[in-house]
Amino acid sequence: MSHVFSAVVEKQAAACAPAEAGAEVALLYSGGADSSLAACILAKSFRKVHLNTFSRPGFMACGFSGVHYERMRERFPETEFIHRQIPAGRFYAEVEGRGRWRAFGRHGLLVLNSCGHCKTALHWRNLIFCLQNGVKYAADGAVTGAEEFAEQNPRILMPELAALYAAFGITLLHPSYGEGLVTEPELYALGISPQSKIKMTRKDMQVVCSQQILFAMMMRCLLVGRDFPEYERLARAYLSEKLETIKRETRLWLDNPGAGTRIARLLRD
Amino acid sequence: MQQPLITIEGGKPKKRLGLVSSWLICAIALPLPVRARIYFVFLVNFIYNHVLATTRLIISFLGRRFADAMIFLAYYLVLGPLALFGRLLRPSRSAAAPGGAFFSDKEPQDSTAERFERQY
Repeated sequence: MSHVFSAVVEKQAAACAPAEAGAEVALLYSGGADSSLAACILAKSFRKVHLNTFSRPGFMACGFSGVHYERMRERFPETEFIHRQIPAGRFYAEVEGRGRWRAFGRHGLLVLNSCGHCKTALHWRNLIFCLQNGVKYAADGAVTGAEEFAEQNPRILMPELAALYAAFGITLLHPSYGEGLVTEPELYALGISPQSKIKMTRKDMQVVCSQQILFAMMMRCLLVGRDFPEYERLARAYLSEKLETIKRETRLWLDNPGAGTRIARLLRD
Repeated sequence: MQQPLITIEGGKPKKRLGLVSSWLICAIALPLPVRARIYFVFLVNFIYNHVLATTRLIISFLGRRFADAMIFLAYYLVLGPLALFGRLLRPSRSAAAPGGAFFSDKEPQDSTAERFERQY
């Protein structure tokens, strides 16, 4: 079946195409417009797309992520979509809670960067998934214009996350991240979403997070007397330390399979 | 439905109350253990994005409908009943048509012929 992609989506799909045929990709999937369009773009060149919806305390309505999944399966029958929910609460607690007071001494209020901790933890869990299942490509639903979120900001966490995956031989892709790419109308044109404007409406069927408000409050306090570039610099320094810890722990887990490493304990249950 | 972040526009609250509440929430959240912090933020989110938002919607709705509601209430609950009672309680000035004088004394219905004869 052929699909009519717009020029900008075709460009993104070409940029995300894997070198080898029959490759698999593990996508951080919330069910929203951005990650759903990312899944459609990946469906063009990947044989199997793992739609990993992560759950943790504070997330609500994780089941909403199944709505677009069903439509994508009908729309792209030649691609195998596998949708699963993976608990990541322990990874979040580890990222947020470990060395908190020491970090508070060095980075101040940034230790309340709940969205940064969350996305870091979800990428960590996705990395573990890739390593467990031999998946060589990972992807997320990052878009332009959401620079306040560390994992969608090229000056905070985007290059650091790519480096984290690359350290373990995995390529991180951002299919929905392109200048001039507006996800909602593209998703509507592909016949996945029921209307061209779904964000912040009742048709926006995706995981709902109740914790963003703490991030918003932290931003309010941090940006008094600072400009946004300074926030970006501070956030990058703070979250890079977290990623270094993650890299060290993951390496330890790979080198000691079955041993009582921290990741082995986090994966238990 | 995902709620919009409060401070997407750049983070700086426009009012002092917003900044004070932000500091207060951060100060409470900071020492809490991770699990307790999650529940605390869940509660704050419920208050900000549901209770306060719903209250604002109700006040906004009432604000738009206030004039209509006041005219409705003033007419049907105050002016209307007052006019009705005023009319019922007013003594009649007309001997021929005492219809408005509901509580005034009336002659018996069968006295018309007697009154006619009395003049002669």
